[in-house]
Amino acid sequence: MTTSDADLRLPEGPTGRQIITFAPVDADTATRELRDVAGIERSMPRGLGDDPAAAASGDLYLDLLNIAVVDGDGEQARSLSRAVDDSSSPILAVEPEVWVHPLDTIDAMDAPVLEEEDAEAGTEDEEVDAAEVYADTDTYAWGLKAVRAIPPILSTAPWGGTLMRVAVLDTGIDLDHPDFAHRVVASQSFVAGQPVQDGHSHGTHCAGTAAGAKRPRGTKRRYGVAHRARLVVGKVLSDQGSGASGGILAGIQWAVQQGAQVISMSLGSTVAPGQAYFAYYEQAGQAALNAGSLIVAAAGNNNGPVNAPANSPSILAVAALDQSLMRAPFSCRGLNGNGGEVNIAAPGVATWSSVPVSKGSYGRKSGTSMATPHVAGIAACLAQKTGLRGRALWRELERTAVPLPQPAIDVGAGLAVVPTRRRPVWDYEPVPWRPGPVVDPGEITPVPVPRELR
Amino acid sequence: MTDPDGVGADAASGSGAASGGAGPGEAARVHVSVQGRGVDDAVAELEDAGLEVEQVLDALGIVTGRAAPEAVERMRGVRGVTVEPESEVRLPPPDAPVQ
Repeated sequence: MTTSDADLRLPEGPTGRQIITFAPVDADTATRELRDVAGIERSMPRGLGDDPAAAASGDLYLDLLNIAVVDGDGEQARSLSRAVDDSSSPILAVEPEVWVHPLDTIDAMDAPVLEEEDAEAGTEDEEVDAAEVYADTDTYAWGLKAVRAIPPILSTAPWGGTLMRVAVLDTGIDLDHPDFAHRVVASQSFVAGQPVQDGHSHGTHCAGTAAGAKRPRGTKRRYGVAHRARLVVGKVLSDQGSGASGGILAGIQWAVQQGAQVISMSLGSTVAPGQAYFAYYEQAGQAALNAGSLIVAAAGNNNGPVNAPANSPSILAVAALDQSLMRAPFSCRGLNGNGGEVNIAAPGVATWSSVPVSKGSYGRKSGTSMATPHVAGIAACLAQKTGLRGRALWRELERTAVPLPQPAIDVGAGLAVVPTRRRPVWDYEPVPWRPGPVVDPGEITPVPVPRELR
Repeated sequence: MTDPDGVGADAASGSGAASGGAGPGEAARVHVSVQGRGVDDAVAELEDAGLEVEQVLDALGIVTGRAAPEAVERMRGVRGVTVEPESEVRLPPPDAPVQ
């Protein structure tokens, strides 16, 4: 052990020697202490002497540092360790000496291992970033996690929009889609000659994000925010994807009359810089708010000023976020004032949701059209929880939004999220402490919580 | 945003474009927002001014219909109304990368 330079393989770990750290005492006192405590009776060279290399072996007392290095057997080391706790002893610490290597030697020696470790470290770094990047899982679409419809750890999301009505004004819906069985309480087409049945897929996708089932029939992956809300479906855009504002206005009136607390409109027409909002959309937005219906509309996908009708002051404009919760590059910005602001943001890239059965039942789409029904579902959950409607619901949506690092011109008040609650303690099943190997403890009876404490 | 005069000022620019979509004398679809009075009250006056009423959205205070440019000029004189052309909304095809 003491002739390491003769060994071909570099040694590692403890050398077998002990390093004893003394309080500032003179060398005689230290040597006497070593003899009294551990029976070490050896004359030690003091300092490095004539041959510094000798410090690598044998006993040594470094008088400038008040440190002794001694060969000691186990019993002596234990005696010295006991002296550390004795306040009358000048011995402060007893620690084993270890082999030390220059770092480049270790690199050369363990190069392959280190490369592997570096690679692992690299992925770990990426995973730290990846923790902030959302992705679809087997059980939920990423947007639901981002908006907390899939609640964070230690939380529950108990409000699913029960008894709330969410109107989706779009290309209709696939009424035969099994996920929407008994969910559509009213439907009406405002497109001449076309039934509510969705021949495009945009409307079915948006309705799914707003209020898709908690347990979809055809997939394990949940995609709907307000999974208990009722759907009011107005077809204002044709199967070819076009519509006129007259049909949209008629759809808004119908949705208000149907008692929808939230009206989701993933549609719009581009607006030039400096262009004002349309009076009729603003009129409709105000009338809806007065009647207790909040209209949310897509900001638009041309990376320009917020589109109409989202640019109306009384209509909530929704920007789209990517999986890193950054504004999607296509998402329109609050370049025009006077209502043309972005009010809030939600996931709108690679959004997984329902499409008509004839088109495969499920699929992904991107756009502010996909962000808008996220907010509609969130608004329904908030409306259920708080009882707020219209302008008060709008303010509550903005108040509870999570701030984002990007400016309000891009993302408004931030990320819209559903209300969550701290998970109560009795939700947790007791888990036994398991020392060592995992042993199945068998059946464990939970301690019942008295009913009056629930 | 509840100031009728403010909206009226906005509408003035919008109504200029009302006649732009159609040729001279040709009736175009317009939306009439009514503020400060009942919609039913205003409909008669709008019809007198030349509006072919298609739907009366009383819950929103909006009347939609068709009107020739001359009729739009006359309708602008009706108290508390804002006349704007209909606008088109078009979605990208279902398989477009951004919806």
